[in-house]
Amino acid sequence: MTAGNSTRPSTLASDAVVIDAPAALRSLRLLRLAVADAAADLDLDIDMVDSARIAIDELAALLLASGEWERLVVTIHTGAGVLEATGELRGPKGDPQPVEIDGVVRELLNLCVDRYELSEEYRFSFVLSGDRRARPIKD
Amino acid sequence: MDGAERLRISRSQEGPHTITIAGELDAYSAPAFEAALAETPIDGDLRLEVSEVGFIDSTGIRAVVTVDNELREKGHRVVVVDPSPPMKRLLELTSLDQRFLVEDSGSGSAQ
Repeated sequence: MTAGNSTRPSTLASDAVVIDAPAALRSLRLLRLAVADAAADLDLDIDMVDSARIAIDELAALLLASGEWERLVVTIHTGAGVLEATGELRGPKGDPQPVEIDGVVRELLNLCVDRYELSEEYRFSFVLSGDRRARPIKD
Repeated sequence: MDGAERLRISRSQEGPHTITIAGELDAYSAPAFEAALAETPIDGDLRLEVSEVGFIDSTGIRAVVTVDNELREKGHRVVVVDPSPPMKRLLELTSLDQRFLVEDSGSGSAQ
């Protein structure tokens, strides 16, 4: 297990956005666009929108680095000033490698979101709330 | 597709070594950026004009750091020129704004 603080959305809100995309790096932009739209709906400031984009990009890229898969399925939902996202890979092609996270990405995620999880089951989740303010690492 | 379609890279033929990149520098497009840099002979400081970078992630910034490391071995370095807000923010979050010389032509200031 390589993880930040554990979190997983407990319910799927009716307004949730589900993205079922090819498990490929070219899908990262689609995920960033979707999460930015959701963050904008929460009236998050531009830095928080950017944090959401960074988080979903980094977490999805870490999963995709594990090997070849069929699909990457991401669910994003918002409510009460909170954005939650989950993602998982489906349909492995061969034997995937363990998901690994390095120190730079770990710190970046810690700065950008309230909490995140990256599991050995090739899933991720994160929570970003509107009252969070990212701090530079140098502070 | 190899990621190059999401990243526009242009080189100045005159003056100091200047490369302008625009678009998204992420895990998908970073290889195209690295390939473009590998094709460009550089024997001085590399000015990287990044005012139109709409997104950059850890893979993208690593690619820039790699180029900077290679230049430093030759006594040169990367100068980040006019960073866009996403670029500037990632530099700050990773404290790489302390590593790179950052120039903002709008204010004429440098860090």
